[in-house]
Amino acid sequence: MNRTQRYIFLSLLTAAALILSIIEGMIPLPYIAPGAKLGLSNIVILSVIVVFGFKDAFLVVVVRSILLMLIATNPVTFIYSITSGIVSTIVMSLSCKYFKNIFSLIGISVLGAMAHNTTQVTVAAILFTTLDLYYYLPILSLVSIFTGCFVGYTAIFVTDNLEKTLLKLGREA
Amino acid sequence: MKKKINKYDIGLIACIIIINVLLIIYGGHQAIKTNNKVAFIYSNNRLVREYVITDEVKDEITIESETGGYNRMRIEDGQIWIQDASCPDKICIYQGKISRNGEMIVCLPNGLFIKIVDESDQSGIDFIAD
Repeated sequence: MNRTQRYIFLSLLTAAALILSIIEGMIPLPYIAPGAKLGLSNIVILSVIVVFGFKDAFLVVVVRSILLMLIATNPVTFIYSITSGIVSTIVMSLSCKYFKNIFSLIGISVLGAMAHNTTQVTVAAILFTTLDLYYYLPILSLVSIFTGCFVGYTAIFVTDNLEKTLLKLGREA
Repeated sequence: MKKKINKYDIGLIACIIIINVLLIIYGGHQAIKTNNKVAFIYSNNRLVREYVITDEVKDEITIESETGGYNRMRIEDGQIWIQDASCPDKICIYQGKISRNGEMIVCLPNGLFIKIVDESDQSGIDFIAD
């Protein structure tokens, strides 16, 4: 796969992550706690980490957050989404590298979701200058286990298909 | 890369669930219903209002944020809740009525933060402040 093909794939995946983030905002969910979301775009980000590696996933996260701010949300939400996106990408990459013989993608995705929540609550606590917000962290973590399992399970299928497609592309070239 | 869920994944998930359930149970003890409550309303990190909430107090307040948004809240029957807000997600409204020590309402887009503190139970506040 040459560089142009790589960039085209990454931009398509960024677009997919962006669309998933926007659609996620349209799905009505029962209120559980502030900041509880499905995290559908993590499917794409986890797949990029597995197939392309950390550097490309980092790019996808940053570009997705900036585009999402311009299209659907505001600068305040951007601060939350970019910090927690970057931290969860780092955590998922590290666990992909060091725990890949222990955990499946489901475990890695749950770890990433936990990192995402913790960062989000920490950023909120810094912005509001109060530690009281950590009250929400256990509830958010419990919710994130379910969404994390779902994201991980989906990512297993996505990586399978993506790797097959890339192999086919490599043979044709 | 392992493709199927294995025992380590289940162990990790079980550990996280147990820790968080314990934390929730522990946190639940902090919220005990009493009658000496004060609601602190913060906007953009500044304390803007302070209300002693009893069953008799009735009021309606609108807090404007620095970014131009607003939250309209109502105090009645010893409870406080947000009636209307300019934010797009309305999460502050869905958080409902709060009345107990340690409960709070947060509106991230407008930087609004309401918390109820029980003045008669200082130990609870110290725990949170630590």
